[in-house]
Amino acid sequence: MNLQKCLDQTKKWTRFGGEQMKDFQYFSPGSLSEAISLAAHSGPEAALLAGGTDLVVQMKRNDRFPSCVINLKRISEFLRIDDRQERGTLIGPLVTHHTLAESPAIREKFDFLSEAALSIGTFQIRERGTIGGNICNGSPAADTIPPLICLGAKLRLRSSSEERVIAIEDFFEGPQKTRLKSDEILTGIEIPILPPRTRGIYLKLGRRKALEIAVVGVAVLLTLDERQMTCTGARIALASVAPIPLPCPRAGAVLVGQKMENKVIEQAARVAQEESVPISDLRGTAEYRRQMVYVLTKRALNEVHRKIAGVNN
Amino acid sequence: MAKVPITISVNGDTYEALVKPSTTLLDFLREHLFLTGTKKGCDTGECGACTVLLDGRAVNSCLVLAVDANGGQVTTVEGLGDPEHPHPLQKAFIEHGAIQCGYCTPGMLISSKALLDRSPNPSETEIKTALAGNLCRCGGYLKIIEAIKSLAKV
Repeated sequence: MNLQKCLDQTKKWTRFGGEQMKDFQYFSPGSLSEAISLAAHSGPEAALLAGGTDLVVQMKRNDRFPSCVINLKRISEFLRIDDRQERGTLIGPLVTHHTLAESPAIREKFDFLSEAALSIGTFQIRERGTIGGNICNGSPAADTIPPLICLGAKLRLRSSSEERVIAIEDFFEGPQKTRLKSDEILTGIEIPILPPRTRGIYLKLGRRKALEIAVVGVAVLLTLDERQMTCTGARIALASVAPIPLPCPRAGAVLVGQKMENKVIEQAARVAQEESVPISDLRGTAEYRRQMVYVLTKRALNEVHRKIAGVNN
Repeated sequence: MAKVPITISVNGDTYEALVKPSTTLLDFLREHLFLTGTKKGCDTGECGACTVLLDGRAVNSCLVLAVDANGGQVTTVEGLGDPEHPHPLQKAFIEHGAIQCGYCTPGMLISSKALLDRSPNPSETEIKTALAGNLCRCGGYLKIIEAIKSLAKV
């Protein structure tokens, strides 16, 4: 049974150019309002095209065969990063991983989001792949999502009938399943202003340095008090250890109000480990992943503590 | 399904064509324009053999729909140079023996060009990062890195 499944999958994956992706209708709207009305009229059979680094592969493998593809690249405001918003930074959904990694605005304020973007795929993939695509593809291994969860990012979603804003951690339902409705488009990612003495880190465990999907990913965002002794805010989120990108509120709560001592850090790492619900797959076993959640969370907390103390000394 | 008209500039020549939306830029270059220098390896964005410059950026042409490249400027390995006038990178690859079977070479050259365009004096780490998306199954990486290093402006 398993062997058959495996063989079918191999057949699917080793398909060379001979087999074509299914045909579809193509639209390239020049404005958001045009895109929204196209999405409203084309229904669940439509696919939104951002960078295409996931969608085109899925279509080639016939995992997805949309009857219509709506390319969002001509919507100019989708490409912008606006860090002069009163309430924080607004990132357009079509900002590429390469831009996230290089943008001074992002690197200064949210360096661990830049690092996460830089850890994705290869140079060529980062030139095409986008933050909005990474979010809406809904992979539990997506590298940009754990940092965004820690940052308290909110997603702006628009349809022809309403605009709603939801917290990114409420967006995911399961592997490749999100709460994006078929007539909705992600129009922006809001990141609130961070308190002082706040820094983040993203640690990605893989078997190699490039073109890797996280075996485990750990993002941590920490705020310390003026004396850099006591934690006044902590958020932890994990990749690849649950059916969705996983916030760990209980682990974060262990740290708040505590001095950043080994005992506390180890306790928080243990709780993060308890919150994780990994499975075994071709990249690692559940046991290994659970163990690594502990190791990496501890390492991330120590490193980010040093980062904040180092900056302010 | 209705074909879509596109206009693409490839290596300085402008082409107008009707393509099926499901045609990738890679297939458009190879099957419609017969520019077969750009290679098809994995066809899923992992091997980098299909790397071209699209508006100056190195991309996997197998992951780009031809319709999505509408209005764009593409540079393929054919646009770098020819046997009489090789590009400095092509010269350096030949001089350093940075070619074995040759299948990855067009993609390697294009990724290298993108690298030198944005960073004329790259470190070894920068070179390796820039080429991480180009696989050479002969394993000839060292000579490729040496060839690129020889062009770095010190």
